[in-house]
Amino acid sequence: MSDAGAHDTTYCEKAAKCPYDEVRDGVMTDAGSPRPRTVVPIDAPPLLAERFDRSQVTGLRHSLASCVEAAGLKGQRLDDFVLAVNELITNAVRHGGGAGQVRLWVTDEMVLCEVSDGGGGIGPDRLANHDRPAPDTAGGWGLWLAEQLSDTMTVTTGAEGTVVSIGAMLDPSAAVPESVE
Amino acid sequence: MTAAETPRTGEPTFSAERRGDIVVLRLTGELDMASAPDLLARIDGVIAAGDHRVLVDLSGLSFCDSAGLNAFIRGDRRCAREGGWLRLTGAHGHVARVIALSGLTDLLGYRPDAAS
Repeated sequence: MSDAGAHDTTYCEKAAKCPYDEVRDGVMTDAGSPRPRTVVPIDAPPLLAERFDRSQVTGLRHSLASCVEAAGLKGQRLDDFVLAVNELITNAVRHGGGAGQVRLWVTDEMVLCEVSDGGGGIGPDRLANHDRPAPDTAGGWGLWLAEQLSDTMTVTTGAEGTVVSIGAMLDPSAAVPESVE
Repeated sequence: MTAAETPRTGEPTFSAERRGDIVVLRLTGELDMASAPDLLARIDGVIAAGDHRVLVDLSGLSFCDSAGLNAFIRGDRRCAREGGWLRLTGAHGHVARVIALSGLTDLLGYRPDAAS
């Protein structure tokens, strides 16, 4: 086990129950293999698939909330997940070229949502930083909130765009225990 | 149903009321990247009218995201430039959760004794 810095510690604590993988394009495409569309291996058609731009953020959030609630997420976990997806959509509009696509799936265990954009990608420093922004910072909250308010989060980013997949367990009591004796 | 067909039930409203030298800005609906610029414009309007102590009443707010947090932080900075402040009060439910999670409760929470 290598020494863990402050960022790595945050990463490991989160990763124990919430795997958060980061993939840069350069790493993925060294061998010339195509970048995977998503790291979530789902064959089923999505429950919701919408392209969006700046003008549709609020309406799309309402549609997503209805779908996710119908899928079985409730209460604070529903509100958390809707806000997390909202942050990814907002990021796509603000930093990802002004538009994007959202897709939502439901499995027996989880609700999964993928937000993709065609922007210039997230820089490695920004991607590696899992710290909460200073409270008086205007900006930088979106990705941090999305990570805090979801159970799993995977970011694939590069010069051709960014794909963020987040998930929420439908039954959180069935989640992997935080520690096993 | 597509996003475009969804009614905008969360359309925000803003209303202002003076209490002494404090302007209370009451928000309802949802605060996101579509509506946050409206809040900042209202704060600018308060400052332009010569006031610089703004208490934002969130008791009617049902949603607040990072765009809302940014608007609170920027609004406080603009008030501070005039020697004043922006503080938050009345948040409940998920709005209170997001504000607490981000650490803004300590920074911008309204404490009447300290603020006056």
